Amino acid sequence: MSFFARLFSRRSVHKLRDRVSDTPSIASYADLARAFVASNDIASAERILEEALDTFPASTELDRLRRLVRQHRLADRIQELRRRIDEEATPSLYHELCEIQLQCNDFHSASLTCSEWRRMFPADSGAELASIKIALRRFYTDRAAADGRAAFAGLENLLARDPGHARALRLLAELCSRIGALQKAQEALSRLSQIVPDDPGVATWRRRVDFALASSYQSMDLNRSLREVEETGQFPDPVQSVDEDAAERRAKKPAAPKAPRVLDAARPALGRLARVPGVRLVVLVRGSAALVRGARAGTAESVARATRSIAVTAKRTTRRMGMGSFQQVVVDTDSGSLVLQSGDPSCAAAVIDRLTSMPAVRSALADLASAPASQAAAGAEHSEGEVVRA
Amino acid sequence: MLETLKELNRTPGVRGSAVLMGDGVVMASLLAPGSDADSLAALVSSLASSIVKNVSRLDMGKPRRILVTSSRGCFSANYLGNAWLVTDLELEIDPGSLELEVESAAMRIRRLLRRRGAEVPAVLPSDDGSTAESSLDFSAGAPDANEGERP
Repeated sequence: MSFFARLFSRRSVHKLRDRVSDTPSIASYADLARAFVASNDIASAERILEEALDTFPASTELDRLRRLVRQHRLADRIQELRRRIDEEATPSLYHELCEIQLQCNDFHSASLTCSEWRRMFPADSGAELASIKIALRRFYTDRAAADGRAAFAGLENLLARDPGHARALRLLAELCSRIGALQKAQEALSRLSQIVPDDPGVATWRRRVDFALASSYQSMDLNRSLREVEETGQFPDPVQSVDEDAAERRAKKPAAPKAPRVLDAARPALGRLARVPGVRLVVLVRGSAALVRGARAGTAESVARATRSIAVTAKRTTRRMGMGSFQQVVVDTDSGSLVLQSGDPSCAAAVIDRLTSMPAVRSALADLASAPASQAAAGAEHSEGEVVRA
Repeated sequence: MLETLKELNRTPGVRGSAVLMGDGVVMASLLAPGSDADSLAALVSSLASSIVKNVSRLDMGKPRRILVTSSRGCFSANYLGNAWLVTDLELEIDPGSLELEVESAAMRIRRLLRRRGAEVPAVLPSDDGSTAESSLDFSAGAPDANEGERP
């Protein structure tokens, strides 16, 4: 960046900072963050967005910007680590690179990094644990039984060689606990409590598992539990696994503000999508409730049921095929297309005419399906769509 | 049929392809190594049957193509009357850019199926949701002798 460009950029940041102090709003924070990005100050952009989200926790725009900035920062760090590894590789560089790739949910690159790490440092056990962590993350994300089995086998192998590996025992206990294989979780926890007898978290966790097994909870064997998770897409987690990392993550994550009426909040976004030219019907399914816009009178419920049924079958199919988590299905027919987008916590679908702009619909559906209920409500009327049971 | 699949597999972005009967039986398969054609057939036919049934509830008529995208893969299933042409696509590729190639392969296979077994009722759900049995008789035409294909 030239001297003049830097000067103008600093002035612009200065002005925008004053604007944020005078009139803090979503727009002023977003503009300031963009100015930081433009001046290559990614850390400040991230910090200002964190601050903005404390003030406006429901803002989709700020959340999207924060994700982009974070991705940008991680991509920079990955590049830097790659450069340093090329110069002089060390296990700690591989470890950091693998962790960042996992943070980006880039399981493929993380696996490649692990293979390279093993090849370069065959005596280092860190690579083995990292590859187990990748399988576990894959399983927790995609819920495919094969990933769960691979992670379990990896942990068993590691523990066979090093029975006192506390981290591996923790991961094993968490896996078994989450899938409801409590006998296995109990075994792992009793071994773990011998290694770390003073850890209160482990003691509480073990007591919970003991209590669940002593009461009516029907513990399943590992394979059946994994199949059940694959089939339903749900983790029974009967005792709320208390792995310290997971608990810490949960504690750090701010609780999502609750919308008074979940589907009411999504009406404006649904209405906006329905007004896109060529869109005939829009459905948002969240849990057992659905919001339908554009259906013929009396057919909203069957439309909602059909949408939910397709989403459930597609999720199950992609999991069983080892294709990871389901994202989207497009069904082309003679009369138009059905586009169904899966999100967390909802799924959204639209029936569109043949010549409708697909990218615009896809992006609107992705926003609708992924937006927390309270975010979709941002300042609009409440008169869109029909609420039905799905 | 395998020739058509081979040609389709040569298209950049296509990892493998297979022709599946509506009831989940594999007719011809040239999938990428490591893919299990039988389990793929069972899963895809169950998904396709659910989609066909549910799309009819939305008054959209018969599906021509189903495109499923997930975090680790993407596949399309083109409707062939009583069977499906399933194409395993690379995740990075825009499926729209391959539509012509896949549709042209589907047309050739559709013609081949007609020549072999004449017109047959589609394996589509009836109004009550049950699926009709396929009545396609493949004994009329000699099956290709290539590996991977099942009579």
